[in-house]
Amino acid sequence: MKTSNSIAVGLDVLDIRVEIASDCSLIIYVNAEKAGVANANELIRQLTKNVVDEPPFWLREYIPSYNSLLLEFDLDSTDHIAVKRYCNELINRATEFNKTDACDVILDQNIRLSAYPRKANMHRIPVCYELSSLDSDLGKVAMSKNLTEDVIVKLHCSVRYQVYATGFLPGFAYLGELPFELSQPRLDSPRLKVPAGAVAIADQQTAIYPLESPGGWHILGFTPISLLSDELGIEPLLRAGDSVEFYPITKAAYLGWPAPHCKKISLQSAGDLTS
Amino acid sequence: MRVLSSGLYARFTDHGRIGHQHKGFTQSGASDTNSHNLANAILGKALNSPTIEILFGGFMVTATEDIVIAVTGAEASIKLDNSPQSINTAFCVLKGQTLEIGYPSLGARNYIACHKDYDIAYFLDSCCMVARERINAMGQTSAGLQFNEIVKYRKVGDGELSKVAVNNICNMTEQVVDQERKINPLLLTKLANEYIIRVVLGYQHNLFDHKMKALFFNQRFVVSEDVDSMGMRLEGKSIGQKSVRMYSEGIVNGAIQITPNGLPIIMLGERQTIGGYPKVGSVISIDLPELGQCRPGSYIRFEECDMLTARQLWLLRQRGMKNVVARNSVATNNGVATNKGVATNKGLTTNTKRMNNGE
Repeated sequence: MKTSNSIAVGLDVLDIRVEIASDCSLIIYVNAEKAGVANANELIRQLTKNVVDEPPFWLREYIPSYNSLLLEFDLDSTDHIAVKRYCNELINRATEFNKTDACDVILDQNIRLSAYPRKANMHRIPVCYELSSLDSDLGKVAMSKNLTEDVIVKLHCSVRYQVYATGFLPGFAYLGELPFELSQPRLDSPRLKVPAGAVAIADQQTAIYPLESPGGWHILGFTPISLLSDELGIEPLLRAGDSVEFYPITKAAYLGWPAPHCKKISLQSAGDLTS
Repeated sequence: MRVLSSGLYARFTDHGRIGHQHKGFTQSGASDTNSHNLANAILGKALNSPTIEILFGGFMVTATEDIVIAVTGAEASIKLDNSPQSINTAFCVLKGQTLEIGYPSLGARNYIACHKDYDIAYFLDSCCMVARERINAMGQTSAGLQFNEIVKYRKVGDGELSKVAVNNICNMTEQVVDQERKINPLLLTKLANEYIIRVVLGYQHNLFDHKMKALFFNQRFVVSEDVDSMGMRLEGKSIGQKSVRMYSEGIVNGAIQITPNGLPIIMLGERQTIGGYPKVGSVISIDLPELGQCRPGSYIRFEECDMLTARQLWLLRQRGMKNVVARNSVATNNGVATNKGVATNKGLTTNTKRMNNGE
């Protein structure tokens, strides 16, 4: 039964490394070149879940990302040798299907991941692609790709994205993978101000700016919803493992969207755009 | 106290937000954590109690009631109604007296701890405000202390010093103060024009060959103008760069990124939580405070250190600091009920709880 729930990800144990990050942190890397970033990320999410479910007493911080998991420990409580042992156990636990099923071991030496029951959410996020006059690169992207704006929008909405990592800013989620046709490098010179709610693309990724910030991504549209979902503005809407789909809304719908329940983030950009 | 001048930048600080980086909230916290801790330790307070962090002096306040304070950090003149006061000792500021911190001759930041708890807003268990987050849920702004602002104190409770104790401290002669409160030099953040910063190799250090590492460890870098609470860009001879495609990953405090031009950037308290430049290693915990005292033009040399030595050095200093807290909470204990035990453990337990809810 375990086997039927597991997925072979094209990795073996040697493809997972534990490295020093600082005198009080270690980082676990999964070889993404070999397995593909989606599989590597799947494994990272499983490792993270195991850490979060039973956080060790020394844990100060954990930062999961695409193919890595950083664990920071309290120097007063433990040392890196003990934490490294913990990491190895963590890895063994997440990949134990390899050992329990003899058949698989013979068939392939791959690590198998359990399809663990996680509370991954699916988000459908409204995006207004029509505010192109201000702060939007939709026109430029269309031009450089030799496609119409409509096609760009359709492509951007055609994919169910995975949240690979969160960070940079509170609520900022790195979503992948962008359709190949849309992929392009970052802006040569980053914008000093990207408005909150901007939906943007860069490389193979897309993301939403939760707050006004500098940024070098190409802006395609704007969403009226808030990315910090709780009242205090602490809990991010998008979490690693969640999936996201975008759908287009009209300018009128964008401007008439009910105010987000998170009060802190003023939708300043919306006001600016009307004028 | 009423702020008469906040100088270049003065703000409240503590150890920062712990346990929220997986959500993208940066850590923040005092740039020179050690001086921050020491200021609290001298008053026998929990090390994570908020202090005022002053960048490059020019700070002046008038007391609105009798308080006992301690100033630590950079080598700067500390004057109480124009009479000089010593650094790293507790002294009284009576109602109406004016405290002035001058421009430091060495170092960059000073810290003021007060026996009373400053009445300020908290976000994510910390009083630190991060400019780029712009979250004003608690009515906080990141502008720091402003002219004419009145800093209030929390009402009498735990951590409150009685009038008797205030008088006791005020009546202590300089000698008594010196004898009872001399600080072990090991507990002070070193102040210098040239710092030796110890580094553990880590992250992608294998990408950097012997020649590059030799260049890294055998030169004197200069702190550039491009330095703030997020990071510190160094100037010097390029160590060379290999183009590498890597995924963004978690960045720790003190991580040393090598940018495409082959020069280091040391990531500091308000760094972004993840990023994608290759890193050669990280500054060890005990040397991080010194980076908070660097200023543009300071020199930095890197020296390799191993993990266990780094931890030993850290534990030695932590133990010393705890002794100072214990000694001083007893010395001024006429009515002081410090909540140090509770507070030092608190961070960890609430942390664990939060982790259970998180993700």
